[in-house]
Amino acid sequence: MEDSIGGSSSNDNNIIKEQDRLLPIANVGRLMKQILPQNAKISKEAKETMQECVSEFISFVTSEASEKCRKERRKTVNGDDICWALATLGFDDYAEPMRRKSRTKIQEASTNQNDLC
Amino acid sequence: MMDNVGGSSSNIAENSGIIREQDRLLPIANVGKIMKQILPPNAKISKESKETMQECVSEFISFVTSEASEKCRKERRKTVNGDDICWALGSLGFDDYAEPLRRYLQRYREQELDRANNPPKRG
Repeated sequence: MEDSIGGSSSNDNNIIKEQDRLLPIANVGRLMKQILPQNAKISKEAKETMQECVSEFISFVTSEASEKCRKERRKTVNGDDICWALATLGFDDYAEPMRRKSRTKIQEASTNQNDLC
Repeated sequence: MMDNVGGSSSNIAENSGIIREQDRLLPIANVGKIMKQILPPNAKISKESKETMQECVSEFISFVTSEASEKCRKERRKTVNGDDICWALGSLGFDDYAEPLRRYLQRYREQELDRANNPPKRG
């Protein structure tokens, strides 16, 4: 992983606005807060470090999924590609629950569709 | 890692044990925007893949924060700082992330120090 945290860009102009490169700090902080004990605090620096880290994580996984699609000559990245990328990159603990969740969502969607018919 | 992706909560909506979706997940538009930056211009991203990534990112944050929190608890500290996040990443095997983030943290602190020493002049 390079030191220039933030990944590459498909934009013509290689400068990416900060708000496009990072997830909102308030949301990141809120998620972190849910995990901590009630009396714990999170420094601004910790939230910003996590912000950078999450962007890099998304870039890392998406890049791997994108490469798979390129090799298979497909234009659309789907949920299975993300799960495959997670497993390939060693996030096996993530991949299986995600696959199950994805399957459940698809089943729910088709059930709802059948109910409408 | 648990299968109920999203982690536990000490900050529960209306004490009911249910965390609202918008508190548990990061905004899908922002997640999609970051993903789009990585893909070639002609590529597309399905809604399902954004939702999968959304879930995944929440779990990643929970996972790392939980480890950092445990370190603070053991050291009897109340505030989680950037070093704790870097330590947690290294501890969980994300060594590729930890080192660049330590460098980022160093630069961040230098900038903060610089800002404190040279406050902007008011016209």
